[in-house]
Amino acid sequence: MNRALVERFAALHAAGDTAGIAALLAPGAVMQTTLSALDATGAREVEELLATTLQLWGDRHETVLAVLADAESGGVESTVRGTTAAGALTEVGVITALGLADGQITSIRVYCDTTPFSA
Amino acid sequence: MSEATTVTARRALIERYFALVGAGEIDAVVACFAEDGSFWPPLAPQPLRGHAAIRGFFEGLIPLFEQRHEVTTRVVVDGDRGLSELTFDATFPDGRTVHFENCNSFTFRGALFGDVRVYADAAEMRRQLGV
Repeated sequence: MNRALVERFAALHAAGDTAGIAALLAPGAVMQTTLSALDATGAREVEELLATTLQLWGDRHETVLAVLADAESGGVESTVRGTTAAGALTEVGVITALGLADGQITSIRVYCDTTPFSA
Repeated sequence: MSEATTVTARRALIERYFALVGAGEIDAVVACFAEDGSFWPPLAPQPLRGHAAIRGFFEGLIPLFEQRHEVTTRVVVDGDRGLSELTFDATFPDGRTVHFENCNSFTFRGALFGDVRVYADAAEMRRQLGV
């Protein structure tokens, strides 16, 4: 069951479907990402933070490399290509660690290099 | 070996690897990798391939800090892939401290690591390291 949940998350994230991801979240789900100094708590804040980070690229294209899941956790490894607001074409590796419980996502932690977005 | 046994062994390898890194046991750290395995640390432009290159990285890293403390906060193993979240706190000999959070991606080859990639915010690492 968790593998299907993580695969669904990966597909929605690649598609930029933040509302779809919000529907997978447990109440009180949390999100942290290296792409923002802000953390999010609750479906609405997580959806907003996801939207903010996805908009860092003007023409974002995400390729999912691997999906992992076990009884309590999951992960998605991917590559994101796109153009930054500064006009630079970038490709960055991204890994997202997920906390899972009762068929829902309880936590999202996104790790990637922010160098392409540094001034 | 059953799937459950393999998962247990691979989780144990990840946990042992970080314990060995913490202890500075470089020979044993390198032995966690397949002979032609690769390791991609966050500030490297490309993966390091083979035992000699991986050994060279850890021989350079470990003496840099007077104290290091690594804590694994999540380990996931699924088939031949794994990930682990990690916090890393260290103190330089001059007293400066750093705090990094990263996530390691593992591809297993049998009982060893075939490939390990560390996902981290290299920009933040450079800022804290002053490089």
